[in-house]
Amino acid sequence: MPELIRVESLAKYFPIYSGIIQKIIGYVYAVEDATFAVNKGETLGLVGETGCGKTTVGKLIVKLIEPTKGRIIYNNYDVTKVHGSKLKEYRSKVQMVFQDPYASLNPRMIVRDMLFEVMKYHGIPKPIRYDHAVKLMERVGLSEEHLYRYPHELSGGQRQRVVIARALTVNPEFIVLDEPTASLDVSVQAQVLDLLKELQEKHGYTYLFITHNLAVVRYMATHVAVMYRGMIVEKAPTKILFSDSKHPYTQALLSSVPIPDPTIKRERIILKGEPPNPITPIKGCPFAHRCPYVFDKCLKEVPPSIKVDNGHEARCWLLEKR
Amino acid sequence: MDKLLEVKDLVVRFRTYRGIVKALNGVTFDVNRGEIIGLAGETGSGKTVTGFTIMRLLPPNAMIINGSILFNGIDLLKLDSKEMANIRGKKITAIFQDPHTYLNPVFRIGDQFIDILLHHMKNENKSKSEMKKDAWAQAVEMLREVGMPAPENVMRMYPHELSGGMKQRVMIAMAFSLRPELIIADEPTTALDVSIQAQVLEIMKEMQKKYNTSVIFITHDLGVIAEVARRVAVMYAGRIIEFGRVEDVFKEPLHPYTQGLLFALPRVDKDVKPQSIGGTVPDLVNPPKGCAFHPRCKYVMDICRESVPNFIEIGPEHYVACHLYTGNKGGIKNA
Repeated sequence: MPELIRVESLAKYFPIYSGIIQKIIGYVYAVEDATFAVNKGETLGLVGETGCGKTTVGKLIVKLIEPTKGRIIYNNYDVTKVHGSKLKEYRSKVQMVFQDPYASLNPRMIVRDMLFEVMKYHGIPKPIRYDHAVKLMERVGLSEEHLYRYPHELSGGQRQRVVIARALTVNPEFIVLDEPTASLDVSVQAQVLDLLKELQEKHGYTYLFITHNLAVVRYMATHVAVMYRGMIVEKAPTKILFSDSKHPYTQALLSSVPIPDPTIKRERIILKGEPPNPITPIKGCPFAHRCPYVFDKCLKEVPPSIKVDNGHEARCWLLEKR
Repeated sequence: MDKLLEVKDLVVRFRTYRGIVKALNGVTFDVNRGEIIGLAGETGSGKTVTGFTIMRLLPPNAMIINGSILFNGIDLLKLDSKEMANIRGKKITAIFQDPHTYLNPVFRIGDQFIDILLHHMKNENKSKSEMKKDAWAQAVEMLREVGMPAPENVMRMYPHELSGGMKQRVMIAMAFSLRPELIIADEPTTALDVSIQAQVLEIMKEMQKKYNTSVIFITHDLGVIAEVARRVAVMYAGRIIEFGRVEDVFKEPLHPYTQGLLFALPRVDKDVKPQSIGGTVPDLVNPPKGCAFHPRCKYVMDICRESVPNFIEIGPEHYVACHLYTGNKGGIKNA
């Protein structure tokens, strides 16, 4: 499959202001040196814990915020600096679905009007808008009557379906899904995941699936990138990441997910300490102070992404030794 | 093992502007001494209400219609508020989901901790300052036990200076500090990241073992229950629909809802396709007639629409409330 989107050494530092003259006193290093690509029709799962920068990556890609460094290449076209009509065109190809469907829907609008609003912005002619809206509802497993509902009249799962329908309004190619099922109960989560998979198979959408839930990623993604303190520490095809991960952080993360089967007894890696503060600039590996295998070099130099196998890379000095 | 807590036929209603919410419709379970019970279920299934009813912390619009809660043989529902206050905090304590809202933001950790200890301390002819000193030492010791680095410093900190995992450790230390017999832990690790969750679960298990405390562990995460609990009670629409040893329930779930829940979970350890349960959780103002799960059930029979299935014992320590097992209309166990 041809590559659809590629980001190269993407970085985002948020300035911290202080004092009367609002002097910049430091930065939040939200994303540092992120490089990855997603092929057409595939799903890249971006996993990591709270505050690791995964949502920032999503926002950078849909261009809600400007990157500090790096490039975003979409369909062999550099979109890092696009604006105006070109940006509008880009936005009709790339859409985003946020975690909390209640917060991303206008409580005073019925579903139909929310969909119409998007269509108006993207210049879909008036006469066909209604038919298009009905088709969208069917596509996400809702019916025409739901067009006349307010968000509070829908259940959590239905709301998320509406948000997905709205993202599909402009027939995008690439969809950034930011924790789309985190606020849903498991039985409903399975429904939404099914819907997303089905849409992908039918219409060939490409996803960036951002989540903290490793089990969901295993089911949804073709490739996985693991983030820690703003850096992608490991990326690999899903099968390989779950069977043969190389980075100590990925290994610890996988071992600490509780498995709903009491007969499985596992060797648990319980990490000490907590993720570092993204405000202090890092010297060396971001994971060094929690890593069970830490040695001198880890504290001094940031490890580069070291290739393990085809498509499998990890930022760890252990891999270089061999 | 002797029973510490016996909840029988608990029925709780809430008066709301929409009508009467039938939150609990006959909850029955028991907790042995030194045992961890998992209480599982989705949003609105009544897990938290059950916990709050045991603590007698229900809001004023709640009505306890029926049932009994025997704690060491005493019915908690029959105690007056003063007697209950003596049990709450001392014999039964709680750990909640969001430690941030349960720690007072304007007081230092130490002050809050000592406050709890002093409140329950017996007057042993000591002066106030001596008692305070004792309480301080005890609090530091508890913080050390839950693996808090530099506990003396933490005592002087405000809650906002601690991370979520650290705050939850403080809550755990506080909960165990009075050596309660029962702890109700309501989603204690839900707000935490997995690596921190692993730490906190480890500490809870350790403390529970050390003090032989009974714990009701309320969570929607079946993985966590598999890890910590001896027995699990699965709730749906205000009833416990299956109750049994974790090995039995996870290996051979009997109730179609329990089966559905387990099959709906994506797994980290193997490739599975999550099977969704069709439909949605019923509205508890107007719950469906008969078995509350019947509109979503694959094996639904006529009787399910008519009568509520009894909670029957099907194996050793394994209970289920489903007409498939009550002998009605033949058994289509694995249809």
